[in-house]
Amino acid sequence: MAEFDPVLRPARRAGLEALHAAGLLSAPARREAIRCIRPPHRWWTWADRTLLLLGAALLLAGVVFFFAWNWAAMGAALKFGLIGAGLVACLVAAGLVGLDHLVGQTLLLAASVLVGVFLAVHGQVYQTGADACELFLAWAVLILGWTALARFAPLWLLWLVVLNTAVFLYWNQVVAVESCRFQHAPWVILALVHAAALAGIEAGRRAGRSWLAAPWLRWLLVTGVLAWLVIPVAVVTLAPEPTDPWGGVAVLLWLAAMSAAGWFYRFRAPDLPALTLFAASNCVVLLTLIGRCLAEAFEDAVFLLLLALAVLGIVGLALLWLRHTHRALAGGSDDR
Amino acid sequence: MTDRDPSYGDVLRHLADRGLLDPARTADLHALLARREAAPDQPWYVSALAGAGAWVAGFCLVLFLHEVGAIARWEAAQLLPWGIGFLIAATALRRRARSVFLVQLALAASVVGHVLVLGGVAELTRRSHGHVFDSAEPTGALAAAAVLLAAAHYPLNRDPLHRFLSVLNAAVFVVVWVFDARLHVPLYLLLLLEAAGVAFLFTWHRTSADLRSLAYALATAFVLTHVVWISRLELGAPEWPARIVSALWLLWILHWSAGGRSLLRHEPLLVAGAAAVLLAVVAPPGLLAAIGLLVLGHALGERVLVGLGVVFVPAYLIVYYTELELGLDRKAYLLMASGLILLAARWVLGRRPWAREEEAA
Amino acid sequence: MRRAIYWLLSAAVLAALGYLLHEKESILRDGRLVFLKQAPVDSRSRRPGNSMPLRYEIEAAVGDDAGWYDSTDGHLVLALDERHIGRFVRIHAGEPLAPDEILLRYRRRRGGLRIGAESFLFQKGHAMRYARSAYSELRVAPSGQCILVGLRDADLAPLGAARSP
Repeated sequence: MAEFDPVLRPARRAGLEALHAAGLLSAPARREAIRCIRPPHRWWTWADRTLLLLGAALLLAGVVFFFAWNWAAMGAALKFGLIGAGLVACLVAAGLVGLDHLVGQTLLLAASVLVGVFLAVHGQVYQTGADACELFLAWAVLILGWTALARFAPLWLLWLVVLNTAVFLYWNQVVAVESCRFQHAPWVILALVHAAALAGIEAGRRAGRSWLAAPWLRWLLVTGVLAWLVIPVAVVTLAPEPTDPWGGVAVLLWLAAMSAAGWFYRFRAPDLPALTLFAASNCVVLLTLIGRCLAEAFEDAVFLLLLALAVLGIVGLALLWLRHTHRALAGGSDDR
Repeated sequence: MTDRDPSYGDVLRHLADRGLLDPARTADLHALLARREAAPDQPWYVSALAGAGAWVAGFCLVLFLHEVGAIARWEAAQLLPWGIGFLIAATALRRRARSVFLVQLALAASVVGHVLVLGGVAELTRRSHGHVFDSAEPTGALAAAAVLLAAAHYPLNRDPLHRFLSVLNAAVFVVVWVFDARLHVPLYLLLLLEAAGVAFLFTWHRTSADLRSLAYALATAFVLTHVVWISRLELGAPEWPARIVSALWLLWILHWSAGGRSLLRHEPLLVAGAAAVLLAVVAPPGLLAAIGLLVLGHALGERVLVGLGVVFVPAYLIVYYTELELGLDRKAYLLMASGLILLAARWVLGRRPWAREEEAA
Repeated sequence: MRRAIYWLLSAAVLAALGYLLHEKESILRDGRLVFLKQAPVDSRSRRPGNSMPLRYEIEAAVGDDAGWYDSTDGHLVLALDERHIGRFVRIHAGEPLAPDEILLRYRRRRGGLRIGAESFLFQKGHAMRYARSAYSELRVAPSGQCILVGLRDADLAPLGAARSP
């Protein structure tokens, strides 16, 4: 692919307007061209999805805000009655509409959010004083079945956010206060959960499940795996703690994740954003290592200068590799 | 998502089939496209990595300069010359550099220059105030300096990432100044400027690669201004001017996206317009900005713009939740009403016969 | 098939939520009324907001007990006086209780005692209504599980909009 052909690029409104302004497209031709790239039925499908998801998201956010207010004047029975009625209504409607339909899936998403609202109000009314992590964990467990059933990427996103919050709060409120040392285990477990989910969607994609094709789901999961591994690996690099075996596990898993991700997203399912995340996490770990060696060997001023050069060098190498890969992949698809 | 965008070739064939193309001018047409549609540039996420690397390296260099004594006293007399020197060196290096490493070095040097010059300006204005205990930060002077730096840099330094960061940096300082000085009118003017800038730059047919950095920086600044505003409601700036600006902006975007004179039939556009006006009455102003970015991004095929709008919504809602000025009960009603307006718009659009007709098509 | 699983699953989730309510309501219905004297809380952690951290005087008494340091989670034995105010007696070791004694389940967190009533949530802006709080009103089930029902002042008069027994 030495020669670049602009005619093969996806047509954009801006380019068509430029052709029109240069007098190369007449007014009717311009109108027909715009209609060709964004025909009304495409606008309709887009508006249908966007209005449904955004409207539902705002409505649910409103419901969450409403119950977070913890109305003193509203009795417990009324609160639970409202949430319960909403929950049953969403579930029945989702069942009747069917889970293959976007409306049904959105209703199930709403029901899943309402389960969380129910648990939060339960904590308010009975003053359970439960750790917030227990609430999120219960929430994740209760909606897991629906999530698995719905084949709906936004619901999986909700589930992952809830689970991540649960583990993070557990680490923050329970583990971190029980001991002062850095704990590797929660990070590694979170990374493993994301890795399992990632493996799941990659397998699903291979099997041709179209609802898993949304690229953002893959990027989020890759971010999850790499970020949750890079933190313990960087800590191990800076302050090795031989007594915590999870630190070693984190390093091994990171090496495994690096090799697997680098190979898979370069050769099996080429994906430049995933490779960029891969490169960025490599940069962080390498620079932590180099920074530590430099700090041991040099005085402050020399250390800072050498560190700056190391950052430029390592990131520069990563960019060089990414550009090379970009060019190598550009022949296949145009995925900006 | 499932629909792939047709290529220019597909569109031109489609027009030729209908006899809407002048065959004599095909060569001109291809030449113009070749000029406009340059080879695929560096994707934004690769640029983000480059930017992050340059930032870290730049800050290491600033600390290095401090360690070796060049700017040890952190005084304007030291900061300004060094800063300007770094900016000139960065610009000169960037114009010449071909290798990735030198480009990164130029960007890092520019970060150093920005930090030192802005630090110097802050020192200069703080000293001229004369009060040692004057806690008011000289944000106005900083904002002016940052805007001047960005304006001076834009034509000189042709690196798109550099342009984006420089403009965004200026916008951040302006936002800080507006909220620090508790100014209402400049806040509206800023929002107006950002909204108009985004709408104009993304839709203007002469916006080329040179101006795309500015367009994206303004879009990011637009979103950022809304997030900062929602977190600082205690300023008490009335919302209605922003609501009017946002409503007009959204209506204009809907109108343009429909192809100027309505290419959609008029009715759906009327429904969308009515929903936009209703939304402008109840919704927190940032949500209109988000919807405008989504519509504009879809019309243009700019996925990054759509992504910016999508990511903005949850961030905005979280900040809205933690803000303390307005009671959660009021916020809950406003959000529920906004959601219901969108769902109602969908319901009305879906019930019209043409929607079903075209769904079948 | 998928439909049937969906309906079964939904029924199960609703049943689980219903069980959560039933559990708490049965404690409210059958539990014994107990008042616990509150201990002063570091004022820095009493930020005005929508919740109030609570600590109890029994915590100091439990800390003096020899059995506390090798226990993890378990039950406390409280003795109730005629005003239903609970006083710590001992850590439960399986022995039978006297008629005026009750069990209160506890967990050890941060080396301290937690009985599950360490914070009181209220509508934002209502903090002043609870400023005179001196006792916590609990309902304690025979199993030792408790529910924080409301806050009382030094004369055991209910505060705020707490549900009265």
